[in-house]
Amino acid sequence: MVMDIGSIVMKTAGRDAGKRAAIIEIEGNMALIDGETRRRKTNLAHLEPTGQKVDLKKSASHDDVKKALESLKITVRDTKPKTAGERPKKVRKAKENPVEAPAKKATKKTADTEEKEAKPDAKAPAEKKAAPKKPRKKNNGIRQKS
Amino acid sequence: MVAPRLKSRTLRRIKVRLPGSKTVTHYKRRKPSIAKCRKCKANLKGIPHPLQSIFKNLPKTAKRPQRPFGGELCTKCMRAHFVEKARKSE
Ligand SMILES: [Zn+2]
Repeated sequence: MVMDIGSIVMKTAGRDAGKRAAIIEIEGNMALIDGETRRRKTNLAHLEPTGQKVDLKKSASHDDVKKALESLKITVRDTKPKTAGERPKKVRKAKENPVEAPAKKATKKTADTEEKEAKPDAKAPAEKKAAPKKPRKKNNGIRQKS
Repeated sequence: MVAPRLKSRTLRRIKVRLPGSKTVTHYKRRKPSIAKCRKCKANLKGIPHPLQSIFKNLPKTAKRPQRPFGGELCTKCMRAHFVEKARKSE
C-alpha cells in the first residue's frame, strides 16, 4: 500500500504509538502528520497505513484536518497555545508577635521550679541547634552500586 | 573468622579497597532481576532495577518508558502489535 497525502496512518513507535493521523506532507523519508497525535514530523518507517483515505491538500491547516477526520470519527488533538500567566508571588511569613513571647515566659517561670530558672543557658543552645534544618536530598538518581 | 550468618550466599559480596590499600568484603542485598518482555522475554531497557526500597521512591517517569506498553513489552513486540492492529482496521 502506498502512503500519500491524505491517507490515514497509525503511528507504531514512540509515545504516539497506536494513534491514527492523516498525512499532510511528505518530504524524503519524513512525513508531517496530524490527527489523534500531535501535529508533528515523523519517519515514514514509523507509520503503518490503515487503508483509509481523506481528501486533503498539501500542508492543510489543522482546522481542515479536523473537518476531514470528522467523517471517520477520529478525534483530533488540539494543542492549547501557552499563555504566560502571572508569576506566583512569594509571601513571607509574618514574624510572631514579640509582645506575646515574654508574657509566656513569665507565666512559665512562675509555674516552673527554681531549678529550671537556674539553667537558662542550657536551654538556649538546644533550641538553636534544632532551628536550621537542611532540606533532605531527593534520591532521584539511580544508585548503581547499592 | 566470618560470622556464621554471612556464610550463606543470600548476600552478594563486594570487594572494597580501603585507603590503606586493604581489601575488605562488604555484604549487600542482591538486586532484583531485570524486567523482561511479556511476549518474547527479552530484557527491557529503560527500567532501573535497584533495590525495591529505592525503586519505590523514584518518580513514575523514571520507572518505565513513556509509550504504550512501556515496561510491559519490548519495542519490537509493541510495534508488531500496532502494525497488526493497523492492518486489521482496513
Ligand atoms: Zn518482546
